[in-house]
Amino acid sequence: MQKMKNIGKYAGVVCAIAALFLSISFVFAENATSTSKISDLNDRKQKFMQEANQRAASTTEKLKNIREEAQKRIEQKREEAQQKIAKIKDEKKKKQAEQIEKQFAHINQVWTDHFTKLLNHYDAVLQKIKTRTDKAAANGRDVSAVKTAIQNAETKIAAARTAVATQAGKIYTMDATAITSGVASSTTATGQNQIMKNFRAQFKAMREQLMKDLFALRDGAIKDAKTAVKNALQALSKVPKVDEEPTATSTPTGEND
Amino acid sequence: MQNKSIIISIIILAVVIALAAVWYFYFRTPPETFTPATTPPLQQPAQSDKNTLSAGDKIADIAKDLDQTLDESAMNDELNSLDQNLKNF
Repeated sequence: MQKMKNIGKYAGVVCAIAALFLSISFVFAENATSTSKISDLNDRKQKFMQEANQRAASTTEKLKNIREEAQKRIEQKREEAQQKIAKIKDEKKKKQAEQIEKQFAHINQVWTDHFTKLLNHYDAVLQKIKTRTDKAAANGRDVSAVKTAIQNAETKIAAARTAVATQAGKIYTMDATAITSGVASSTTATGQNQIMKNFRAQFKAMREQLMKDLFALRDGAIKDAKTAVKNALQALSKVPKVDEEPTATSTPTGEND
Repeated sequence: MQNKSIIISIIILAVVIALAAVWYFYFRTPPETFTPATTPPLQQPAQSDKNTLSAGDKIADIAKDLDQTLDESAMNDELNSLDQNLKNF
């Protein structure tokens, strides 16, 4: 009888230990789930940035191809322009005309490169907004308005990238026939003056068109993209306690992309 | 009778050891924890050497990043050069 009692005690102790281990297991299981969800947030953050980098690289590649194509078209037109420039007797003016004629393509390249940098920058900032939105969602906040604003910003950035690509493909060349317009003979002083006048008018028109296009892009699609990112940030800043970092017990409530 | 209780005790102990093993190898494996201080800073896509995003992702950090101005000197230099050439032509 006494032996049975002892056995019962041993069994009781062993069962208690087992129960203790079991309860510890459940606690750790819950913790592991929460922390793995937080680790998911970090994974998504990395994913966002990788995607932004890929978009930037893809745009650079696309622009490179577009410019190569545009360069071919410029070369075709340049031959005609060179024939007209050859009509200028003054060697100094001739060199200046050649230089000016090449500058338009270069300016277009420098500006569209700058716009691409801006868009890449806005894209990267948007990824930070998405990361913070994820964290707010993990803290149980309502981020539906922010998600809508983020989607809008993504659309605007994509539209601006397309507009920049279109601009990069544009070429600015002179109307070769207009150079000799009103010129009876290019060998006379009057003829030379008229040629120079026509060149100036052509260059002026090219500059106006180039700047009109570049400013329209800057004040249109590029500005819209920035405004959309700004709106997303404003929507995010309205989320209560948005700067709070998720804790190990937080549970993400939704997806962001 | 004594043998029977010893066997029961051994079985229960085995269960406890098995549970401990499961706990140790599965749940005890430290999952990636969230540590903001050691989180690597966000990197701007490689297109600008002068402008980088800040490491933080709080609202103030993001606002600061968005307001960051990119260097426009190359654009202006090119345009000024064209205008100067046109003036001299």
